[in-house]
Amino acid sequence: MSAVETTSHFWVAAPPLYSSTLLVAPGTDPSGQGRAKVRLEIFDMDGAQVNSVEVEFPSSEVGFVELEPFTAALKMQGGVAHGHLKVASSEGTRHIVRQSIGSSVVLYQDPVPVASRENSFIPVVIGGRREHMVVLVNGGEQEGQIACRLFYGNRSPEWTLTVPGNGSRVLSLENELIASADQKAWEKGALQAYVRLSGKHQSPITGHIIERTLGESPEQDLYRCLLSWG
Amino acid sequence: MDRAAPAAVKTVMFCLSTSSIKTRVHFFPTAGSTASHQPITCVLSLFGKGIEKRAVMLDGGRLNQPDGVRLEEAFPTLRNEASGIFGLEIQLSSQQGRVNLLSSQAAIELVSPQASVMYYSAPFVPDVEEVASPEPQGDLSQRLAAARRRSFVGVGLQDAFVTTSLVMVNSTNETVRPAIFHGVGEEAQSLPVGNISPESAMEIPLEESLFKKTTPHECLWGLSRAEKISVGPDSLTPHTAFYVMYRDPVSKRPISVCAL
Repeated sequence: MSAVETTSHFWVAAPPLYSSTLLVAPGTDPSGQGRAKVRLEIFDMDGAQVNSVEVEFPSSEVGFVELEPFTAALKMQGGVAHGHLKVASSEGTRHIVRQSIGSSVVLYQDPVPVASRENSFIPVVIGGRREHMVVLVNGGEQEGQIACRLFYGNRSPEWTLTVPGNGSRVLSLENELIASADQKAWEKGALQAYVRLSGKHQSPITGHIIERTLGESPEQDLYRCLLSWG
Repeated sequence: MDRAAPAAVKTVMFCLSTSSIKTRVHFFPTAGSTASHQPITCVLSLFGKGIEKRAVMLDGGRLNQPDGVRLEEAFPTLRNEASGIFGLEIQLSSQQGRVNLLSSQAAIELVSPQASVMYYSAPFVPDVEEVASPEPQGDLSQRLAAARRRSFVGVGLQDAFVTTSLVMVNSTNETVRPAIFHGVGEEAQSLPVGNISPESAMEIPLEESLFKKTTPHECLWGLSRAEKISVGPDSLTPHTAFYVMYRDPVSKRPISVCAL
């Protein structure tokens, strides 16, 4: 690996609902040998490393790394076995994750972490048969805190959320956050809202939201990934 | 107040308006650690095939407070006359002195009855008159600028669940001829995308033939092929933007968008 690296932090979750594949578009070829190297580290939700692997593929093509085999040791929290994937490649490499959630497919690039005194936002529509899971990943080694403020109607409650170093957390926006601060008046209809994430520590934390729109049966549920800035 | 900050910042995006897809635009004016809620002016400019470029100023914006609007409300022409893909320029400025808004963010939501897709803009840059202004201030805006330099690169994907298009947006009144490449390293080849007309947005599907030379990968969901797509650094200007849009091959509905 070159001294200058591209490092990305993604959230990964285990089957059966989630299945992720990392796509790697190589940048520079520091070895000059026509091989691209990617170093993957997988941490559980508490930040303990559960897997580490180096993958090589021809530098003339986009590399595929299916992540399912590396997620077996992830721990459950919030009803999901999940963790943090740290990816390091040579300079100029692009990392994209293709994630299947139920029958839905999303592709996303690595979100930009929010560090101390920085902000990012995520639009959400609350109510109307939708449920939201706030997903946080700490890309740093130290425990980090992030302020999560929800703007909806004329309200804007805020919560301080803690994520262990290298760890991850998921929280139900409706059941764990809003329910603690509100009488659920929003449930009557669909309401445009915004989540604002503000870094409180130096630890860089990424945030995104997984939205589930309830179908007639669980198989018909639709999912989408609402990323913060990425 | 930050005297080195540009007076206004902007980003260039695209939106869709069809019988089944409508657009919501969301924006978040922020200046890093500045905690005030001073008034912010947001100007949306819509342009594209079949419509004259027009601008709308939105009232009520505040620093550090996210906001948004249905694009049809800002541009009623989208309700019935105009249909297709359009360019959208979002300009943010402070009414009370210079505040560094370079770390502001914007998102477009393509709303359809079946499923909606949201994507984030390329990073905000100083507006045209501010080209000679200093480098972005603050950690986040510097990292965003670095991300923009890195993000010349995207991935085209083709399998049973995903097809890929390149979306190019030109907000200037001159024709632009972008340099787009596919492939990696010495094997990269120019992708013939032609010119982008003045004040327009265009979507170019990446043809099946583009993926023929790539190695097929047998994945959990079936056979998949991928190709690196990149934009020549000189083609990325404050007035142009490039996005990779992934669509469902059967329904053709968008499923994800990534900024280049």
